[in-house]
Amino acid sequence: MSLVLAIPSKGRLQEQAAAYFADCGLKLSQSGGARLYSARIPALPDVEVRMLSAGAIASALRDGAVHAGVVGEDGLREADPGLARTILVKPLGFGPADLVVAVPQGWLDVTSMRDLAEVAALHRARTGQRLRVATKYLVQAQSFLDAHGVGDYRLVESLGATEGAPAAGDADIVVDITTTGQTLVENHLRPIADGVILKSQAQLAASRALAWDAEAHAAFAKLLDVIEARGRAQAHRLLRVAPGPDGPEPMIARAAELGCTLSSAVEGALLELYCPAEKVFTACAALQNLFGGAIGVFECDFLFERPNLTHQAFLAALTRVG
Amino acid sequence: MSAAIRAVIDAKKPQWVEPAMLQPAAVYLELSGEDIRRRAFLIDDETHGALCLRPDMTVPAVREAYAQPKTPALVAYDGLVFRRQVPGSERESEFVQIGAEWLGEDAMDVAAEADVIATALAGCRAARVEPRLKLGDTAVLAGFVAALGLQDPWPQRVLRALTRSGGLAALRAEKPAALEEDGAGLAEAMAAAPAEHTEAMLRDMMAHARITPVGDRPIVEIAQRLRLRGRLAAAAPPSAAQFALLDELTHIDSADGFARASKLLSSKVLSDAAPAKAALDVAKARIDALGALPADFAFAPGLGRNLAYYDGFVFELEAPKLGVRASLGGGGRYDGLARALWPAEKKPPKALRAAGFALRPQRLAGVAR
Repeated sequence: MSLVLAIPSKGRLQEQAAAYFADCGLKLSQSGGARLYSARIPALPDVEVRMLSAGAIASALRDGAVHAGVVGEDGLREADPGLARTILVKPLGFGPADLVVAVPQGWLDVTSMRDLAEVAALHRARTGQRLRVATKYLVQAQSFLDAHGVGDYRLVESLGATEGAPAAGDADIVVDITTTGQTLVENHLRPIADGVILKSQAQLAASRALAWDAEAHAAFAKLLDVIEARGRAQAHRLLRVAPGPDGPEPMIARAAELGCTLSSAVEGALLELYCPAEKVFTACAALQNLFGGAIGVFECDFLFERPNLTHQAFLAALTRVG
Repeated sequence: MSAAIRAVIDAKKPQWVEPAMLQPAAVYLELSGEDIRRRAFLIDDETHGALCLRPDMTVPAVREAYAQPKTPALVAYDGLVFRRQVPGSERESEFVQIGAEWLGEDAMDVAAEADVIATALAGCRAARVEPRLKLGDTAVLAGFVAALGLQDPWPQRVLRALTRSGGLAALRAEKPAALEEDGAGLAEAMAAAPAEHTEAMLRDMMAHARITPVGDRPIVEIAQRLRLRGRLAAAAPPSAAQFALLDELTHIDSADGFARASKLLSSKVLSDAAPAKAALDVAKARIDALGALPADFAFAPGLGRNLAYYDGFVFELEAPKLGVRASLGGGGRYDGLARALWPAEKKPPKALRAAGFALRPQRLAGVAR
C-alpha cells in the first residue's frame, strides 16, 4: 500500500501547501481531470495525494482514512481532543492562526480570564442564564474555559460567521480563530490578553489509527527526508575553503568550534563545510584569520543528513502505547 | 428489593410521578453547564431542539411537580436514568433511581431535612444494607468564608473557587491583582469618582473612543466592576493562614469531623467567628435531629461543593467495598435549583424550598447479596 497523504483542496491553505511542497521539489501533478480530488507527486511515486477540505483532513487522520496530512493544528485538536490518535510530525511554518477568547470592546472591565469568570457569574446572577459563547471549537473552548475557572457559560455552536454572533444577539462572547484581528475589530470585539487558547499553524500530521505497512513507512521516511533536507539546506551555506600550509586539521578544528559540519576533507583539495546560515560571516572571518585563502559561500538546494530526528520522533510516537 | 424501598417512601404518602425519558437538554445545560455533554446522552432533534436522555430523576420529577396547578408537597419516582461513561469505565450507563423530593413554599427546618436523610437511610435498610453516611453542608463553608472578614470582592471569589476542585489552590497561586495592566488608570478614576457619575463617565469615554456597544450587558455593571477593580488593589487577599484554614476545613471527612470543624472556630485567622458558628449550630441541630447515627458516619463540610446542584445540606450513602461504584445514593437541599426549575409563565410563590434523595436499588441489591 502506498502512503496516502491528504492536503487541503481549497483556500489559502491549499495554495500555501502546494507552494511548500513545490519548494521542496515535490510538485503536485493533478492527474488530468479523471479524478479531480487526487494527485501524485512525480518525485515520490509511492505517495498518493488526496485533496480534502481542512475539516475532512482532521477527521480522516483521526479515523485512519489517510496516513498523513497537512492540516491546521486548531482543526486537528478539535477533531481529536488530546491528540490520542494523531501525531504532530512537523510544524510547516505557514497558516498561522490564534484561537482566542474575544469579548465586546465595550467590556472595559474585562482584560483577563479572571475578569471573564467574574462577569460570567454576574451575568448568571443577573439574568438567570449562563453567558453564551459562540464557537466552532466546542472541545477546545470548553476545556480552556473550564481550566480558567469560568463556570457560568454555555456554548452556542456557530456554523457561519462566529464573530457576528454577539452583534446579532445570538451570543455574548466568542471563541474563534484570528490571524490579524481585523475581523474581530470589524465586529466590535477584542481578544482577552490571557485568552489565547492555541497558537496554531499548519502541521504535517500522521495518523495512529491505521496500520502502517512497510511500503507506507518507506514512503513517509523518504518524504520526511526530503522535507528535512530542504529545511536544513535553507538554514545552511556550503563553504569551500582553501586549507592552509599546515594542512586541513587546524581549519577543521576551528570550523567545529564555530558550529560547522565537515562535508569532505581530501588531502590537497578544497575543504567543504556546512555552516549555519546565521554564522556564515563570523565563520568566514575566523577561518580567514587562520589562513588568508579564498572562501566561497554557496547556497544548497538540499542537505541530507542521518539520523533524521523528525522521523525518529514520529516512529517513537507511532509505537507509543495509549 | 425495589418494592421494599418503595414501601418506605409510600409511608410518606407521596405523589408518584413518571416523567418522560427524553428531557429538554437546555434545562440541563443551564443547570450543569457544558459538562453535561460529557455526562449525558444528547440527541439533536430538528423539531424539538436538543434533547437528552434523563441523566437524573430529580430535575424531571420537580418539573413534573411544578407543572401541576398545585405543587404536591412530596413527589416520588422509580425509573431508569442514563449517564455517559468513558470507554472502559466500570460505572453503569443506565441504572434505576428510586427517590423522593420534598417541595415546599415556606420554611423547611432541620427536622424536615433530617427526615429526608432518615427516609433515605430507611430505604437502604429496607434493602438490608447498612451504608456509610457522609454528611456535608455548603452553608458551613459559606459561614467560614464570611467569618474570615474579607473585603469585597474576595468573599465571592473564594466562594467561587470553592465550587471547583483545585479552585482554592489556583486562587492562592494567583498573582496579586495587577492594576498596572491596561485600564488601570480608568479603574482608579472610576473608583475615585462618585458612584452616581461613573455610568455617565463610562458612556462618554466609550463615545469618544468610538466603541460600538455590542450585546445587552448593562453599562452600569461595567462601571461597577471597574470601580471594584480600582478597589481590589486595596483589598487584601486572604492570608496564607486563612487559605490553610479553608483547605483544612474542606478536607475534613471523618466520624469526628464535626468536632474538628468546631475546633477551627477558635482559629486566630477568623475576624468574627459568629457566621461560622451559626452555620455549625444548624449542622449540629440537623445531626441531632437524625437521632441514632449509622455506625459508619462521617461529617465532611467540603462534600458536594463541586455539585452546583446543592446549596445547603448534602449527603451521600456509600458501600466503600464497591470501589468506584461505592455510591448507593444521596441527596440534599437545592432551593436554587428549585427556583431555576419554576416555570417562567407561572407566578412564583414567596419562597421555594426543596430537598430530596435518590437511591440506586441495583447497587443496593449487589451489596445485600
